[in-house]
Amino acid sequence: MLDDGWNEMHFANWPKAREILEAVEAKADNRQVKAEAMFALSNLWRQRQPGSDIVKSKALLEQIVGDYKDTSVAPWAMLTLARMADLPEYEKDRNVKEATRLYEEIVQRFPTLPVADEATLRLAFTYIEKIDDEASQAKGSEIMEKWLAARPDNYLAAAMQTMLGDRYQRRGDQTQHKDDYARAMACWAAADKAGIPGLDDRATLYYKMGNVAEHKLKDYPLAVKWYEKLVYEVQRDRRFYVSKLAAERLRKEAGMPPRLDTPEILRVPDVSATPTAKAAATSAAAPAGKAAGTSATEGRP
Amino acid sequence: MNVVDLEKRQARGERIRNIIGVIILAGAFLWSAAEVAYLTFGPRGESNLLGTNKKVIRIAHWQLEGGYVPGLEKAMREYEKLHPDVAVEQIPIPERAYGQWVQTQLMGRTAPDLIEMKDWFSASMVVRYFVPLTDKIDKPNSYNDGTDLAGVPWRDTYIDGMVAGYRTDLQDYYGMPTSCFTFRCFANADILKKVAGISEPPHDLTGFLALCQKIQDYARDNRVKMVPIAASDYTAGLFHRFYQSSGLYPLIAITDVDMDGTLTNGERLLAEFGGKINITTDPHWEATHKLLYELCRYYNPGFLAARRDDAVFLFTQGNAAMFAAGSWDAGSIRSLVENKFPVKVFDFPVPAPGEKYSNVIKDRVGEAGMTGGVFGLSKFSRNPEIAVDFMRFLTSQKANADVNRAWSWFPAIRGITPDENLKPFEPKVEGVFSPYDDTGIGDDTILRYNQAYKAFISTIPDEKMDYEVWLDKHYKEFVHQVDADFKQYMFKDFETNWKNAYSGGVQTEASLSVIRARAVHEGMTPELSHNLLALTLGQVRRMQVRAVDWSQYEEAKKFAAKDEQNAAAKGGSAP
Repeated sequence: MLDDGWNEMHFANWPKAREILEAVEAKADNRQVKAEAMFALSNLWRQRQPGSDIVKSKALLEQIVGDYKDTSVAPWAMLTLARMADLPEYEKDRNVKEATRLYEEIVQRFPTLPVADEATLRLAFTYIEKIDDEASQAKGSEIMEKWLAARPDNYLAAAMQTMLGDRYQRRGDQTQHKDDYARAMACWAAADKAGIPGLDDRATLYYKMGNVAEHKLKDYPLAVKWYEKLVYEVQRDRRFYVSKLAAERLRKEAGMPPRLDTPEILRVPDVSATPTAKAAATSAAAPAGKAAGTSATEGRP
Repeated sequence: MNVVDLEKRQARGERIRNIIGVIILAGAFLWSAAEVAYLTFGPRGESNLLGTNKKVIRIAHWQLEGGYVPGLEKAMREYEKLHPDVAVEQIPIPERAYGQWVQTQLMGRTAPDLIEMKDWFSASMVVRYFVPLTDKIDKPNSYNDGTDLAGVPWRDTYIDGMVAGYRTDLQDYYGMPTSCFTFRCFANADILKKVAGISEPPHDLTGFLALCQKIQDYARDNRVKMVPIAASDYTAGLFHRFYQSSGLYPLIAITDVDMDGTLTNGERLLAEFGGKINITTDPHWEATHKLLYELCRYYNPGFLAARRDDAVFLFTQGNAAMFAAGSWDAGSIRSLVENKFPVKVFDFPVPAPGEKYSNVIKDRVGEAGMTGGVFGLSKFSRNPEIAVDFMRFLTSQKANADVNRAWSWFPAIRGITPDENLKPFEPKVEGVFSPYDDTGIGDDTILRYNQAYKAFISTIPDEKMDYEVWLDKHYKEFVHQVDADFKQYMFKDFETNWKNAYSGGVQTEASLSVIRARAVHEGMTPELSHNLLALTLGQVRRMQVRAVDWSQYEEAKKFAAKDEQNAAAKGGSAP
């Protein structure tokens, strides 16, 4: 039944979702199920829809945190309350103090649960976002570094290492110390190892690492390594060609031998053996399908 | 005629009008009823299909170009032959009505199984109404068995790795592309031969401009109604897009503070106000815009007021030597030209080393990730597995070759030899990209840039002056106008975008809260931790960019204030 409620919510069928979830909540004699139904309802009240009600949503979350402490829902309800304070609909309503208090409480009360990983990242970000305040940046870094030391494989490790790398790069831009850039590179490498999920994020990271290694550290073999990672692993990215040129140029400058394997995207496929190619080759001279004389559409399909 | 007669005549007229109205209404009703009856009870009507217990897959698109509907129809029937228990129906919708139609269908929960996706489909719309496909695209496409793509993951059978189906903002695959699209120039081979004695269009910019001049001279000397390039506002935009990307690419080296290959609004502000770029003296700006001006001299008079169709007409009627368009137009253009003249397709020319503009424009623009014609799987699909299976079929090596041949489009799948006349449209991944956009950073700067640019390119040279001297003066007036507009409106545009970026973070939070709830219910599965990491990382990075942007905005403001002070001290105002 709970799944049905979530399904209806996925399809933006708010009245039906509400009907199902309220029925589950009313009938449930299992505390976990009841708390999950309340959690789903609190989500429903926050969705942008006619009759959405943030106050009701918050009240349900507070009820879960207060009365259903023994369920697995309570820590996530607390995190949701923190996120509501940290990222409300309107920025003027932002309450960083309350968000920070809740993040810290989550980390303290549930240190071994995944919810604490997110609370730590979010807590650190409240300091990291003060870009021009070095003390605040240092505090944010310290929070993440301590956490990573204790839970190096947490599910948000890649995000934390990325944030740390970016922070040290910014510090390097201020101090012009190579150490800062080297530290940034180490964090980004750790982020890559932990697993950056998106293609665009991976390409962005590799391109940046190639550039920082080339221009800030003047470590050409290192720059080649990261440029080529983009060229060979995320080759459909728009930065592919310029990364390829940079890697080839730096290989020469560093006295490294040229890399001989062609990236797959540039390989001319040997299609002569495929039946489709043969069929296509024989029909290549055939005229294209005659159009009905309609005007071509302006927009790209 | 007395008043009574007049009133009677008016009353009779009104009765007749009413009767005509009723007849039209009744006629419309009967026509609609017949249409519905045909669609329901006709040979391929839903009741018949349902009556035969067939599973019906519906696919909606806006491609009304010649060849598309019959081409898809043929593929659908082929699929039905392989799966007699399935019926596939297409719903072609005119492009103008497409957006509204799709939204209505999605909100009404009556959406078809497969929907061609427009690039304006927002992240929240996609998350809410479409199914992520990551778990499906890593499996081999069984319709490729017996070909060199047998056993290859579906995603890797695409020439660009299915990148057009990937939503960067959602970090997941939501679409299945069907074709590949690029922009190219078209030439009337008869005119090339007759006027310049050449059979192939030139590949270098100098040769191209010389050809344009030759054609213009020929038309003038022979009093022939002919222009070198058929253009409209849209076509001029294609040339602008290509040459600004190529010409302004080098600016990335001085503007991209964090070296990630993207340019944020904060970085742009810092570049413009912090002295990194002075657009009024920048050689890349100058060369790019002077080249664009030079090209415009070869367009048809009044091209800015011309519609895209006017330019197509000019070219297909043989009154223009060349034309620029997307590859999706190729089939229609060829069919409109029919046997009037042979068409040559060629790439936008770039300067050869040592030629004019070669100091700035060195490379063509890269075309990595150019697949399109992307179909998404609707969450309302009653048969999602069959719908995806049909897309697997449509994007198998054989079916994709056949259907794209019918559409006159470039195939999206590897290992297909396209028709000879489609080869010039093959995407070229080797080329630069430019995150620096000369048109501005938001609504106001873009509007002002466009106004100034259109005035710049549509002004006729002063024949009393030396052309180069005149162009230099004309360019300086244009670029100073743009510079003044940027200085006036850039901060405002920044502030608007900066506020909007906050809303983006809030929207992501809504998606995150749904996934967190699933984690509560199902436990932290690998799939959920992947989704949570992807969305959280994306959100935190965007919020970090926003924070850095603000810092750069404040720094740029200080520079701007300093400029004001310096200008005031000199007794003027900052430009």
